[in-house]
Amino acid sequence: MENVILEGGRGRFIGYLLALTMLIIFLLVFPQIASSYGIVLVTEVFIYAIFALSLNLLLGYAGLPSLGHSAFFGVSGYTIAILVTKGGMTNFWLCLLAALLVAAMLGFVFGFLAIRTFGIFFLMLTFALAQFVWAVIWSWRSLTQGDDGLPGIIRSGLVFPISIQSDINFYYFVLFFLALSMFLLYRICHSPFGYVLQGIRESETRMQVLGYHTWKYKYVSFILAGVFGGLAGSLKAYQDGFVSPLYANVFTSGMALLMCLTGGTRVFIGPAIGAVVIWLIRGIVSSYTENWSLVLGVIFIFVVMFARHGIGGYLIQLDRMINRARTKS
Amino acid sequence: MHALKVEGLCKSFGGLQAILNISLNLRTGERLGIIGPNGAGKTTLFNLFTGLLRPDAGRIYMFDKDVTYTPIYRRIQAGLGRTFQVMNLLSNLTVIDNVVLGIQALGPSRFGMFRPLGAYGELVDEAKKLMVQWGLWESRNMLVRDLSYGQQRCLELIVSLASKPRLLLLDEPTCGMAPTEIASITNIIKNLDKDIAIILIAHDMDLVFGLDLDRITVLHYGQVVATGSQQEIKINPKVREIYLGTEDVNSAPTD
Repeated sequence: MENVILEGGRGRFIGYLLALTMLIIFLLVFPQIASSYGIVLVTEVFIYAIFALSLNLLLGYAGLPSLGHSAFFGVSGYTIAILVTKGGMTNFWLCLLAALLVAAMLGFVFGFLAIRTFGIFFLMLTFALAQFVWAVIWSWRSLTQGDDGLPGIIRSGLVFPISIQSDINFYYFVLFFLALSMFLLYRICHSPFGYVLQGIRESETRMQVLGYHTWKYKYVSFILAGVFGGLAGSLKAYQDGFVSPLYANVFTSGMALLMCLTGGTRVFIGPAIGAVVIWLIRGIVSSYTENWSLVLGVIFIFVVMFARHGIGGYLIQLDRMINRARTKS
Repeated sequence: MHALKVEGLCKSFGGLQAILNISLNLRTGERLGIIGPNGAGKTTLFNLFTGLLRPDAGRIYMFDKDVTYTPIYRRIQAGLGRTFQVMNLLSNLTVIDNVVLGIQALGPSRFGMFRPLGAYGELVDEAKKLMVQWGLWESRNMLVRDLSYGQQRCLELIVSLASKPRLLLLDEPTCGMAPTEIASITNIIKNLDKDIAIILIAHDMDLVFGLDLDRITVLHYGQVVATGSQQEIKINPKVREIYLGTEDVNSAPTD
């Protein structure tokens, strides 16, 4: 409740502020010094960071392990693709709004079905629902062209306030959405609503007996996570210029889950760190071998067996150690 | 007005009749003890009152309103509070988080999604008042799982008071505690506002007899065996039989 950063006094606060400023400067300067491949790769990292952070609202805060988050990624990506290629809509903001609305509607329906369950049952039900979305995309050829995918999503014209046609501008554009999502999700996670979700994670019956209508909280969090997941899917569609059923596949959900677990689900920033680590490892390994998902599998096993709290868990320990050393001296 | 009125309550789990035709009532501010050996149905009864279980038959009225099929959170809003026998706290959150969440549950800020929880000054102030009063303020920033067992039991009680209930259900509040800790819990219970109606479950008779409750009800195999004042219960032959067995009718229950 009390501000953890300020708790350690001014020195600690300034330390964090300094680190954050340096990170922001680095991210702003990065496209000017990086290769074009590097820019595309890091833009992808940003998109997956939004996706993993949105999943963690369910996984880490509400304690709802969803294996169906790709459903939102998929429907939003396809909404963009269909509107642009079949509907001829060129206005980015209108397309995005439509994609987010579709994601919210999907959350509205799926949440209604899935929120009744918990634990492994929730995991399996969300998995099934997402596979249902994937199957619809796969077989509704007249609309989605099935496994051929939908190409031709152009980042056309001027997207107020900048043109996003070039990869560099698109990088900044996605960085803006990452910052916005992180700000909003951070506020949600630390609001009364976010604390109630954490309470539900710890003990739902306790929260009910305190007087909370827990079902409502879980439902709203499911829809919210879906909207942010949809944002990630929309941006990915614009980046690739092409969508395929893989967007809605369990592989995409599993990737997000792996990012959350690697980065740590109990630290707000954890999933974003996980996105950086996992996507960079993928980027490096895939330039050597096709079988990069094998490496991700090994990481998954390692994290589950030896580092249950992920990188974020170690960061908390480090932070406590530094703080203890500082207060002692 | 009755804080609680129960008529013909029944509940069975498969072939096990856990609660059989129980009727009881509790005036506002009245204090009732429910005792009975393990498996008598005490906690099941509380789960029915709270709404965690649905009865097979019978009616439950809270403050003269029928709540038999009312969802849990609405019963809490109507003034019900409860503690659990088995620890049921938010163990990976801090002590103050637990108390603030308890206070906030019925307040207007409970759906707030943007302002940080810590910025709701009036909630934090109220939590502070409660925690200072019951001696938990010093450990406010500790995670609940790092508290001692006794402190956790104490917090369990405080959290249930956070929403200012008018009917409080205490499920074995001193279960598993050391004698000195028991004293502090009984102290809290004795000092509670006299307007709060209380039902206290215990299988330890010392606790029940030490709290000057208005009435005591004895439960055995899901049925009410006896109801009466402490004296009446102490000399009731059926109660002696349940607690001491038939052979030993001459010695009184632990006194």
